[in-house]
Amino acid sequence: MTPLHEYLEQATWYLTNPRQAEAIRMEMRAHLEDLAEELQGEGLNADTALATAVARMGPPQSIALDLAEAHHRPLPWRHYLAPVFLGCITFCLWTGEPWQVTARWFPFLIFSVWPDRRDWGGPMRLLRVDLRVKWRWLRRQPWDRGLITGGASGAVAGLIWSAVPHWFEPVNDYMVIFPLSAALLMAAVQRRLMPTPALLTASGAAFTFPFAFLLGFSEWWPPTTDWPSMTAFFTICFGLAALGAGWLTEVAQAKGWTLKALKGISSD
Amino acid sequence: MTINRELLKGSTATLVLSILSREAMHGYQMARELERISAGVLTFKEGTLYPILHTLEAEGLIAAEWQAERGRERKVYRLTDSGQGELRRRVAEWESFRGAVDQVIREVGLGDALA
Repeated sequence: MTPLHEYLEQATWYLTNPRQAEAIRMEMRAHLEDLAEELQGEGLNADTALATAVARMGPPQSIALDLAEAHHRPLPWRHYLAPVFLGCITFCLWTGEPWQVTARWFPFLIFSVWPDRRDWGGPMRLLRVDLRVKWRWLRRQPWDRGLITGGASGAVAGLIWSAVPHWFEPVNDYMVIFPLSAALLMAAVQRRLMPTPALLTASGAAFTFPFAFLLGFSEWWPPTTDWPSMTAFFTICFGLAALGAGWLTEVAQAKGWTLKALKGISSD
Repeated sequence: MTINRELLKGSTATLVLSILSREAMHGYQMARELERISAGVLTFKEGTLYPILHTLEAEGLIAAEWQAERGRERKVYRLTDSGQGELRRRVAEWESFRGAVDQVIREVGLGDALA
């Protein structure tokens, strides 16, 4: 592999469509060769001219991220639930649940991993690229930001919750503590990123409660409260709540609902 | 004079659309044309030009086709009707912004800088 080819490969690494990546490499190669010809006209030899042209193009990693952002479409949100459902199945197998209970999670897992028609390059590479690009988008995309921080918040909340003694009966836990802790945690984590913390807190509580209630009392959830179960439980609830919060934040931003506006304070 | 990168960053798309309003070009031609018109003051960083071109293409503001030239396949871009409308909007926005900044500079007594 020539240095130029290697450079172009690195610069297009995050593009998951092979044909698109090849077309972009061809385009950039033509540019570099034109630039190298111009530099040769100024007196540089061929190798130095090409190296100078490549240096002027910039670091390949930076180009790769810019190209990824220009071309990459977000991973369908259902793919992010795959680890959760896989965790549930693993947990059921580990605790020796009846096969009927374990089998109930498989349709969800299949739904979450079913390949999107844009899944070029293999699911693991797509996930890795998607996470890398999403991290860069963190401040710009309420949906993705909500899923990542919501899911992470849920996992942490589950670990913490399982360490705290249960002071209330289960029915009170689901109705009071879970939504409140979900909302407070999401507000604390996302507060600096979201323009309307009050709206986020309210939406976090509003969206978490029904999911917590349905999952907690449904026959789909294994009736255990140790840390793997609670972690998976909170991850699902928070992830779903974050989806709702992300959607609501988009609506709020589009309609210009700010805290000042809600309080009736003029922004002039 | 070296222009602050952040100033250029916000104007790159407008500059691309402006250059393409004259004639269809490939990326290298655009970079050279910008440098020529601005007498070397403005330059496209090659690595950022193509992501911007692809973003504008995805938004339907420019369209591209492959053409062979001097033994090399090049992607030549042209402005679409949507792109022309967007360019008019951006130019109006820029004129308004520039006028406001000029006005502030004059008001505070730095008007000689604009003479």
